[in-house]
Amino acid sequence: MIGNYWNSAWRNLMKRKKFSFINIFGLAVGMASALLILTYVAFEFSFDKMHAKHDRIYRVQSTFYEGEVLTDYWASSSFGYGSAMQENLAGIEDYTRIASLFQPEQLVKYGELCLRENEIAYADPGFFRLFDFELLKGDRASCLSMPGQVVITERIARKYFRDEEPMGKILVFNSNIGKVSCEVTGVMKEMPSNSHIHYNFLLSYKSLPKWVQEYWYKHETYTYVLLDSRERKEEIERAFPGMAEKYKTEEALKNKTWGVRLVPLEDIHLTPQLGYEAEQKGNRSAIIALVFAAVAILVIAWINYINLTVARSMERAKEVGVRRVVGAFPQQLVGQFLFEALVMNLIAFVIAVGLVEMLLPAFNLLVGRTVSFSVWLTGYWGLSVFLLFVCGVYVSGYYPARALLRKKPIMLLKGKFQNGRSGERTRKLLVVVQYTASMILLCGTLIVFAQLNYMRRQSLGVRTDRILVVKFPGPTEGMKIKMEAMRKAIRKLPLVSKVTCSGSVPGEEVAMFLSNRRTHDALKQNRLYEMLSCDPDYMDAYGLELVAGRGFSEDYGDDVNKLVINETAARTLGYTDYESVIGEEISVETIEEPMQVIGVVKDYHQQALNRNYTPIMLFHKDKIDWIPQRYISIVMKPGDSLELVSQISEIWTTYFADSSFDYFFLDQFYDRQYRQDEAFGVLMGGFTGLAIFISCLGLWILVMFSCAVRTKEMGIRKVLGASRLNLFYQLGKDFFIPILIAIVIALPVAWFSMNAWLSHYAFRTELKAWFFLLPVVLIVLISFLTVAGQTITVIYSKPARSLRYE
Amino acid sequence: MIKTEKLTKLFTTEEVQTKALNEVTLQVEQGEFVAIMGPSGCGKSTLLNILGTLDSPTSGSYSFEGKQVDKMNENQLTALRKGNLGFIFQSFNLIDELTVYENVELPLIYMGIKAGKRKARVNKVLEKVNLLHRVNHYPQQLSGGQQQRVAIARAVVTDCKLLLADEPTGNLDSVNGIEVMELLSDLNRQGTTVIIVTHSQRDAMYAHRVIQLLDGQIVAENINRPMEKITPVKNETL
Repeated sequence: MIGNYWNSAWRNLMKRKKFSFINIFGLAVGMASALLILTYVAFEFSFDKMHAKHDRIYRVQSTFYEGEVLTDYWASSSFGYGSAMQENLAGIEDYTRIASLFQPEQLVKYGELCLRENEIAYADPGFFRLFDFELLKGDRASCLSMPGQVVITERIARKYFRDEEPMGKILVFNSNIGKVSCEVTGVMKEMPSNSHIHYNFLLSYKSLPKWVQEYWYKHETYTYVLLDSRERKEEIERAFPGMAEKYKTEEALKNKTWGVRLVPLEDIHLTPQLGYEAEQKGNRSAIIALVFAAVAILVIAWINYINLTVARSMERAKEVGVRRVVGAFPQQLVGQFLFEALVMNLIAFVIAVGLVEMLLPAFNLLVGRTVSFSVWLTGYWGLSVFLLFVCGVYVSGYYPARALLRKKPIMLLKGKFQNGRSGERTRKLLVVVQYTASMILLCGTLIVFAQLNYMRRQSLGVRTDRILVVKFPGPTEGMKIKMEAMRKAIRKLPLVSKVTCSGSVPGEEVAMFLSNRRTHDALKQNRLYEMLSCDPDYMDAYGLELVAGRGFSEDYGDDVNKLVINETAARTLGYTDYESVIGEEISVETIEEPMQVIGVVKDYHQQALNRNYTPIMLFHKDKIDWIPQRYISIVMKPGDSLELVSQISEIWTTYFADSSFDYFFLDQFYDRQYRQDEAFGVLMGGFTGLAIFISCLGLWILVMFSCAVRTKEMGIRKVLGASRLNLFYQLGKDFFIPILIAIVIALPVAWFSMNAWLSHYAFRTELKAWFFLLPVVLIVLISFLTVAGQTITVIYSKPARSLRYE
Repeated sequence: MIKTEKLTKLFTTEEVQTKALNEVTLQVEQGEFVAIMGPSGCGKSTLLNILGTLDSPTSGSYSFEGKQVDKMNENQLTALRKGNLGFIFQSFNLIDELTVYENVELPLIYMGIKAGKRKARVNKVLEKVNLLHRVNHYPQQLSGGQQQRVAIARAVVTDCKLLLADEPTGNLDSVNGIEVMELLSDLNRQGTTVIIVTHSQRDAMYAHRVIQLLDGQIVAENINRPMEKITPVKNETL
């Protein structure tokens, strides 16, 4: 029986090669798109599930409340949380702390080799108890238990030691906290790309300065706890604020309730981006939109298959009729159609897998991940896709079979098979579904690009173009004098317009939070402000606009004790009239003497436009020693920027030969924040194009079949005097009406869904009428061309021919 | 073998109702060769289709070997057709995508007969219709007469009891037409009941009895020759 089915399926496939190619190609493209998207989505959902205990591991995230109001929410926690929680709260089986915000970038020296390295963290021994990251060399229990130990990745081991044995070698880490020599006690495999934890160097936690190891007033570590059961989560979250009161020994943030939220390890990657995050997280709403796109494309492709198969079944009616006459039960014929659907779907699936394999490298480059098919083995993803495939095969085989089996065998044998009204209605409904999905995708893509365009064109309030940023050297003797001398040398270069040093640059979170308040505030309301260390040239170099007061200036002599704040900080302090904040004294955490506000700058976009303005206080670089200077920003004059880089590199070598010279261009650095949005836009655009293409392919074939069936009718109409326009209307109306219905359904759905998507952006474009009108015009135009392309032959053919041959 | 009582068939469209058969009462005995004749549109093919269970009557009753056919559902009708009824059409109705062998084999597959047995039966019947040398050809590669012989082979490969032929020579030249009719006559002699619909007087001469239809009603019945005594050897000796 199967042999007979196979012969029939294969010969039918070969008999109408063009038709089969269109049908399989459409299905393969649809499947490839869906497979690619779903592989990516599965990858995003597979984050952090590689650890055996992942379902009981939680990240401790810090919250600060004033009354009922959540004023701050960070991904990180303080150094002291982990140990205090295990000591005071029930249900914590184990914990680990990863201090990676403290000194994430350091100069690493081995012999003569000295390189600036990032992704450096301090981790306590619990790290290898909680997480299953593979340790290739070393002992999991003891490799991080003593001061002066470091575990490195395989890649780093090769980089520093080449073919030498890395174990036991000494690496010297140089940062603001001084030099620390560490023995390599372990080599680990690269951390998987679907882990939110990524480090190249893990120094033992005990290598940190003693004072910071249990310090409660620095939230620069990530704490992970292993609970004895998942039910403990709420209990611990409730108990934490009470416990924290014991540890709140300093004045800062005393007015706030210190709390925590325990976020399951596997949820971290797809929950909203917070302050002090370890990675650029995935965007859940974008992923949901992509899932919609994947399902829509797959459904469109299957609908095509069904429509085309039903359309072709007119030709196959005789075969089905004969099979029924010679004794085939209806279920046997259903089986035959299902078998054919399976063959077609399998061929399409194999092509799709090939296409995805081909596209994956480019796709990975676009989304900045290393997605592979292996994610299908995680969770129920593989099974879900298999079930989806089976459902698709079943529906795409069953529906055409049913359409034929409803007819009497004799009707089929006489070739009088035409789909009945209900079949026609179903087919029109399927066209409506296809075009609704395509329309929603098209509107969505347009709005994604409009938002990207809006974010790019919006004035940032801060200069980002033609700025070269050089990273600060590692601490050396006579640093201040050397730095000043180098600054002057750079300033003298002909291509340099301005030079400034700062603790942060636009495009990243300032992130140095201090709890400050107005000194004369009777209520002593402390709030957290981002503290940006800078020199007096910073505001001028970055083009910050003053709305009140003045900026830092060497002319005034005592500006070291002064503050310049942004509008949001002024409002947070309680001022709406910015002039009145000038001269106000501010008590800054860790500073004994109050500091005075001398200026207010207009709010500017320190980060991308998906983030709202945050309160920022700019202070003189010489005021707070422990907040480090990290960047030298050089405003360039028009000219050869690479030539300038080489000139600065020479100057650098004169002063800081021990430190590596690392630089970036600020506009590129700022733009990397939009990478995810851009990738999302490109993906949506690409898949929308495919969805429309597949829909049109289906429409093209349907019109072709409709023309074939109605050739005689058109001939008669022509003889009776119908105009060409009328003939086009007659042939096209059956297709345009479903498309118009699709438009009516799609527009409100697109409006609501895209409105919801835009609400994630603090600064967003307004929804304009043309975002919806343009897709309508495009869809109608493309459909018009598709229908016209097919009907033109019938309309222009001589009626005598069609009548004779019919 | 066949008994119909006031068989009526109406074809209804939105505006028009056409009576294709009007209370046709008919009896066909086992081993008979019956020809149905009449002008175009008189209901011959409709009657044949109903007798072959390919279509259902609007009213009236139809029984085959004592079983009430008009009350059967689709699956029961299929089961009844299987092995009992064979069909031959004017336009042959072979499946273009299957070879001669596969076309003939098809009913045996649906009967669940094993591949080895199928092969023997197909080869035997194809030998009888002189087409063994064409087993791997596709229908389009054969002449009309050859195609009709394939259709006959497919109809009789199951050893059916009743063979229904709708203008079996309508698309054939006279030489091929005679050849086909001789084959049908042979089958009848070996015990298969045959009912044919035809316009041709020559073809009707092969039948024992000729039924004349007009406007959906039987208007005359002529006996050509008496029925011979049946020797049930079936197509084993075709």
